[in-house]
Amino acid sequence: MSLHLVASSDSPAHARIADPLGELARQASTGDTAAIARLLRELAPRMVRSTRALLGASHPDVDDAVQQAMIGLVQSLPGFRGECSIGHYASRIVVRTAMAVRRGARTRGQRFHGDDDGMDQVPCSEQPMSERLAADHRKRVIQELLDTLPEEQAEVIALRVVLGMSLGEVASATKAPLNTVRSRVRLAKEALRKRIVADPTLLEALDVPACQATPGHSLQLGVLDDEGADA
Amino acid sequence: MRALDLHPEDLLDRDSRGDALRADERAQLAEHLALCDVCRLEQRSREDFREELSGAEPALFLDDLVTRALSGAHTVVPRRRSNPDVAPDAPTSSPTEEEPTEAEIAAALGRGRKARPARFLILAAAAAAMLTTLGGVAAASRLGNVFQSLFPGQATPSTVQETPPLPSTPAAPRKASRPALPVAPAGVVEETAPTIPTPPPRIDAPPPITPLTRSEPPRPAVHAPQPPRSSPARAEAPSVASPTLRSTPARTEAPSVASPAIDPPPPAIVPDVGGPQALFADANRARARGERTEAVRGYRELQARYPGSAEARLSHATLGRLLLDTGDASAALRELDAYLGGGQGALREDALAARATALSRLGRHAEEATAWSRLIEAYPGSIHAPRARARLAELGSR
Repeated sequence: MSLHLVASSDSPAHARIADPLGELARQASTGDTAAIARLLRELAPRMVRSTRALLGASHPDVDDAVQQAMIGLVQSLPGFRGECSIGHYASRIVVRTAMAVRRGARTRGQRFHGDDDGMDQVPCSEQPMSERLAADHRKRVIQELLDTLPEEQAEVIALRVVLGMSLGEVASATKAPLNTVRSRVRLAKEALRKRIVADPTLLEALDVPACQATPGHSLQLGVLDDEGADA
Repeated sequence: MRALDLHPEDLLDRDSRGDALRADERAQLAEHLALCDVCRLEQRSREDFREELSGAEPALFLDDLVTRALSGAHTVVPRRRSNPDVAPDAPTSSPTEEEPTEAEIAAALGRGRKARPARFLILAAAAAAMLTTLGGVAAASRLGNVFQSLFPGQATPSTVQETPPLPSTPAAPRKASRPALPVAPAGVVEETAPTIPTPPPRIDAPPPITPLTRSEPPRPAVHAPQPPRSSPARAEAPSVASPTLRSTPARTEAPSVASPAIDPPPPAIVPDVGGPQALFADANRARARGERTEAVRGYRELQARYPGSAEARLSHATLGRLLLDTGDASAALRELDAYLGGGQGALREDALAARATALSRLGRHAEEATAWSRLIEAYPGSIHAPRARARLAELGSR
């Protein structure tokens, strides 16, 4: 199979891809086992981090989801045509895998609260606790939003907000027209606005002042209550 | 559509990338952000997630993931959906790698489903079994190539396929595999989307196995209790090649009878995959699942094996909280003191509050009052401050 690193001229949204892993991806897509292994190793850190960001760092299914996404990538490599970077291609697989995991958990009535208290994250810096709690709150809102949005909108929000892709990159990764992506983002933001209106604490998380944690999201209050509320 | 719904996505993108915005663009973005909570949330969230994505992962942990993924990629039956994203000239999976459905077998034989006699079902099952076996052999062969490319010099997982069963060797306890993840519904994958595989069974890195031949006699399990070296039975025992990950060398000679000492059990080699980060993550996941005993064990192991790591230090606070939850205030206090004794930390505020609570539960009220005062002094705006003040007032009135 040939790999086309330059998109066809009739897809202006899919700009020329300058992918540092492009050559390795091309070799891997031909079934070169050594190249597949090297490619996975190159992409693994980002796939792990992305999965954690989408599911929550301490989600019990993170490792399984990463493994599943990697398997999906290997099996999809023959279909990779270089219309986006291999990293974005892998990111899309990660997003869809993670969202399937989230949907599965929701179907089974499971809800993950593991990251609520921020006690399990090694801080990169001496970031104040209040800021970390606010950041966790914001991230959790986005993660939960993914569960409620239609699939296409959720995918766009995951790629854009969680994985940091631009509109053009999302369009390239999803092979959707740019205006379609814009429309999906706008609809998703409408849903997000309703979520903000319904949760006033979220506004505080947006502009959290120093030494003031987001109310309702510090489990310490409950845990440390000595009057029996800390079951 | 309201003006507020016209979000400046391109400006948000460029600002997120760190591109330099013109003054008018910057003003436009600032004006919109001041009014639009949604875009402000998006902007802040992108920063939050960017920080989360920027970390590094332990190399051993990644190698383990890649190995397992490669193993899984060659054992999972590929989804049979048509995928237009696959280029027309893309190689398709070998027929031997896919289990044919009954309908496909029927179609291949030119028979309809309803007209299928019972005899056909038997033939179909036999054909499916044969194709599955062929697929497994092919997959194992391909997997061996990949494994060798990753870890040259090591035995490949395919060795397992070639090793005959050992009749007298009791089956080693297998690690219970985690429940399989839900299979994505058929409609989940768009036609243009990369495929999401059917969830594979969790595959642990297979241990290298010394190839054996069928002509060799049955061998005792390495883990089985062994008689002393001086035992005649032991001296006459056949040589044993370790079929496990342990580093015990193959015993090809009878041991010295003169030695009265009993062989110490071979030291257990605990795979150190991922280092402190992996241990911490495992413990945190156990805590998230509510498996407190397992979590406590994990934190303790982390502290014992990597006492100087950032994760171990943080685990003192986490473990202290966990022990407080389980009612062991005394042990919690020790952990919290260990954390607070390490100087400043991001969880200091909460650790101080937890410590005061532990002291309260232990009835050490004078120390408790000091602890609450220390908290208020250090963090006057703390979320724990109201409780601290209330508790101080209560203690003062006694």
